[in-house]
Order: sequence, then structure tokens, then C-alpha cells
Amino acid sequence: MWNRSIFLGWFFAVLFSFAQNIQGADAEPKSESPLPIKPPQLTLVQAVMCEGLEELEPVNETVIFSVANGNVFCFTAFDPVPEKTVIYHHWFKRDQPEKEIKLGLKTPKWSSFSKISIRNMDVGPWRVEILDSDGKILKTLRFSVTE
Amino acid sequence: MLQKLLIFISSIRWQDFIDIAFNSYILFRLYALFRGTDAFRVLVGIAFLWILQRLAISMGLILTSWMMEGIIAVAALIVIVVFRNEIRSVFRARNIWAILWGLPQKPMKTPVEIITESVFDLAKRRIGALIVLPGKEDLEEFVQRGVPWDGKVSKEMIESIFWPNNPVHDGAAIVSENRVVEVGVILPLSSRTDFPSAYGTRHRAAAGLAETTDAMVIVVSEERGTITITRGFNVLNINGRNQLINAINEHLGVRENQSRFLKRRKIELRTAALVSLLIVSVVWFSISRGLDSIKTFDIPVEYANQKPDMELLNTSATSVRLFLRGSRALLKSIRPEQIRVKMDLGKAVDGTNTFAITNDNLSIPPGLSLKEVRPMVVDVNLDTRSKKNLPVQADWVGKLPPDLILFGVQIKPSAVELSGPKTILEGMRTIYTTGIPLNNITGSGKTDSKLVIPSAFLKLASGFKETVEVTYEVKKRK
Repeated sequence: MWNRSIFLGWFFAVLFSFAQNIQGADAEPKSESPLPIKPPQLTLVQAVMCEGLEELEPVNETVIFSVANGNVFCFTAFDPVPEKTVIYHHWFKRDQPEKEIKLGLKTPKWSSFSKISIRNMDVGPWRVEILDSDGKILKTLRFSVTE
Repeated sequence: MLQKLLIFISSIRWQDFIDIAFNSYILFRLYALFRGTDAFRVLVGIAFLWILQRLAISMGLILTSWMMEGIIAVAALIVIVVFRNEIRSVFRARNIWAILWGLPQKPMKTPVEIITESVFDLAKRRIGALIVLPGKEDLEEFVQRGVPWDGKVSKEMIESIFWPNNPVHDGAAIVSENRVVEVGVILPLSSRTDFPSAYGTRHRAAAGLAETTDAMVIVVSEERGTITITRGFNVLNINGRNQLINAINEHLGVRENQSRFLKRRKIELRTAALVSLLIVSVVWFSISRGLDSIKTFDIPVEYANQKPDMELLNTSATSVRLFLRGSRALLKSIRPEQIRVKMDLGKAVDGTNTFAITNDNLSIPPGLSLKEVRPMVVDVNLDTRSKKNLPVQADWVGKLPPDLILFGVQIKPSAVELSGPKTILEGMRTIYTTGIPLNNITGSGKTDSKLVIPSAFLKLASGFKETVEVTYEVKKRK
């Protein structure tokens, strides 16, 4: 029993070293012709609803906005921004489009925001869809406007 | 005139002939079965009242027509209750063939002579006897404890029944036609107080049955050997044979000339058949061909054969107005439930389908025809049934305390699947909860909230509940 275990251990050790040699042999030509590197993509790193901005930073992140506050901010930050592009903030109130805001982005990273003013008639559930230049939804933020 | 008559005759269908013939026969059979009974006489009275009611309606006598209608309704009920025995005896005594086809049988002759001879012989020997000769009413309810006999009437038999040593001699014997049907029968006693003192229990029993039914009872006194007959409230002492024979004949309605009687019966039945035919023809004519008029009916539209994957969203009309033409009597008797407007959605497609309303879509009682329909077409909006996954969003209401910030919300499940018409689902991006009050929030927590399904056509897919769990995070404002 003991002898058989030793034999199996030895056999797998040889097999492993052999496999490593083969892999090493395959790896070499790779270094000669490297795979094409994926170009950096526009990446949304932060998207929040907030009551205001201070030094381009969101203040009081929340999902409930009282009409008394007057404004609602949607803050978005992108890193990296590979090339100069645009994004969109689409504001909806109860599934009905209310506002579409186009925002420019510059390299290498960029933060931008949009805001709306709220009144009593705006009370209800809202959402903001953040879209890239191709119209692809990057994120949806949901909030409510209350009394 | 002749041309009009020919046109009219040619317009009668073969179904109409069957209709009239069948109903005439039913009427004639009712006459044949119930003729001579009290129930028939009352039915004739009801028919007369009905004619009066129709007259009252046509003359505009509102109160009279209502009163007649009420009396007819009550009388019809009373006929069934009061004359149940007569009705039962008519149907019980005959087999189905006799009810449908058989004519009234030639009456069996009651042996009046034999009964008379027997009665006088019994009187002579001072043997008490009670002989019941039933009228048209069933005696079953009024007498008790009879012994079935069913023997042919003979002088010897009658005398043996009332022979003092016979166990059944004290009761009455019922003689129907030429048979003694029952003996030892106990009759109800009369409660009259004006009887002569000489009358005993036997006389009182005879009077009791005669008062309550149309039977005639012959009494032979044991003490005095006298003969008395009771019929209705009359009590008559018999002095001679002829007097008794005449009394029995009068009670049984026996005619002197039997062949003449049969001839009259034949004429009567033929007349009845003719009258039945005439009545039904008049009723049929008044219903189907009488005064041509038009009546409108608002009938709800029914939809059938809808494909299982289709949803009916809306229709341009939920009901249509039909202008039907026919006799006034027929139109008056028609209820809207008897008319149907049915649309076949078997070949309908997505979107708006326009259906014309034609006779093919209508089901109207025979004898009526469609003159006009409004609207002439119905638009039916159909949609394919579909499914969609929708994110759930909390609908916050009220006012959050000003020192708090609600910064995080999680909903379980975060999305639900809805099924329903494709066009409705296509326009939906979010499903909202019912209003969740903010006023009472003092810290982070969770609450259950119902989903608001915005259309009756939409349903939650199986596995999803109408309630979601909303977890919220709150912090103090700096």
C-alpha cells in the first residue's frame, strides 16, 4: 500500500514537470507576437444623486429631495476618459421624460453634473438614466421628490 | 284580395303548420282529459279572465288589467292546489297512451234496476245499508278504512254485504259504474242539528258524505225499513221504486237514448278539436303575423373564440342597438336575454379588427327579423400577451424629518415580471410601490409595501408577490 502511494506520487511529479516544460515551450513564441492590447474604455466610477456640490464633490448624497431644497443634482465621475466625448443625463418623472442634458467629457478623467429645479408639481418618483454617446445606459439612479 | 290571400298562404312555412297542429292537439287533449271536471270549468274561467285582461290593456284600463293579471296568477296557483286530486286522478287512472291519444271511454252503465231491487229487498227485511254512488269527485280524502271489493253488482252480492253477520255490514259500500269497488267504508258524520230524531248514525254518515262531496248516498233504515237518499244538503225519503230509479238516473246523468248520447259526444269532441285549432291559429296569427311593428333592443356584444395568447384591450362599442321587426305581440313578449350578438375572434389579429354586424352574428327568436343595427361595425382592439421584467421603485410620500438624510434604499425583489398586453408593457419601464410615508421615519429600518399594477390587463407572473420589502438607511444631517 505504502509502495503504491510512493509510486503514484512520483508519477504525478514527473507528469507535472513535463507539462510545465510544454507550457514553457508554448510561452516563448507569445513574447515574440504579443496579443493586441485593449484600448482603455470610458468607465463610470461614481454616479450619485445629491443636494449640492462643493469643489466638484457631491454633498449630502440622498434619494429623498424635499421641494424646499429647490434643486436636485446628479453627479457622475469617469476615469479613464480615453478621448473627448459626451454623455447624457436623461431625467424621467414616473416614466415620462422630463429633461435631457448633454455633458462633455475630457481626457484623462472628468466629473460632470446636471441639475433640475423642483417645485410642488414635481412631487413623485423620479429616475436619471446616464447614457454614453452611443445611447447605452451606463447606470440608472432612482429618487423621490417629496413635500 | 285573392292575391293577398295567396301571398299570405304561400308565406306560411311547413314549420308553421307543425306549430299550429301540435299546439292545437295539446289544447284538444287537455279538453278531452279534463272535460267535465271542476278544474276544467275553472280553467275556462281563467281563460275568460285572460281575454278580459287583454281587452283591458287594449282599452288602456291600467288598474283593471293589473287586477286581472293578479287574479289570473293567483287563480292558476289555486287550480293546482285545490284541484290537485282531480288532476292526479286524470293522470293516474290512464296510461301514457290514453293520455296522448285515447278518447273518453263509453261510460259503463250502472245497473240502476239491480240496485233499486236490492235496496227495496233490504228495506223489506229491515237490514240496514249504506250505498254510495260517487259523482265526479274523488272520495279518497273523505272516507276511511274501506276494504277493496271489486265485484260485479248483483242483488245477491249487495244483500250479502249488508247481511248482519258480515264483518263489513256496518260500513258503506261504494258502487262505481257496474262494480262494488269498496265495502266497510266509514263516512264522515254530518254535524247538522236539524235532523229528525228518528235519523240515526247511518243517516248522519250519509248526509256527512253528501254534504262534503258530490256523491249520492242511499240509506236503508234497520229500525223502520225506510229508504232515504242524501245528495248535497238534500235528504229525501223514498216512497216508491220509480222515485229511486229516477233519483239514481238523475245523479248518474244517464240518458235514455245511449246512441243519441254517443252521437252528441262525437259532435262535441269534433267541435272541441275545431275550436282548439281555431284558438291556436288565432294566437299563432296574432303572434307571428299580427300587426307588424319595430322595437329596439340594446344588446351587449359577446366575444368568442379569443386566441389564448391574445388580450382584448378595448372595443368601440360594448353594446349595439338592434331594430327588430315582427308582430307587436311577439316583440312585446321578447326579453333582451333571448337576443345575442356574438363576435367570432378566431381570425382576429393584433391591433384593431373591424367586425360588421350581420345576421350571422345575431341570434334572434324565430318570427323576428333585423331591420337595422347601430353601430353597423364594431372595432375590437386586440394585443398579443407578453411578459416583461420591470425594476421596482419605492414611491416615497410625506415629509422626511429635516434633520435626517435617507441615502440608501434596497428593495426585495428589486424587479418583478409582469404579463399582459404587449403594447401596455412596452410603454412601462418601472413598477412603483404604493406611497411609503416618510413622516414617521426616525432611523434606518424596513417596511412592506404593495406594488401598484397600473392596468387591469396586467398581472404579476407566477412566483412574484404583490408585496415587496423596502429596506432604507438613514443618517443625521451634518
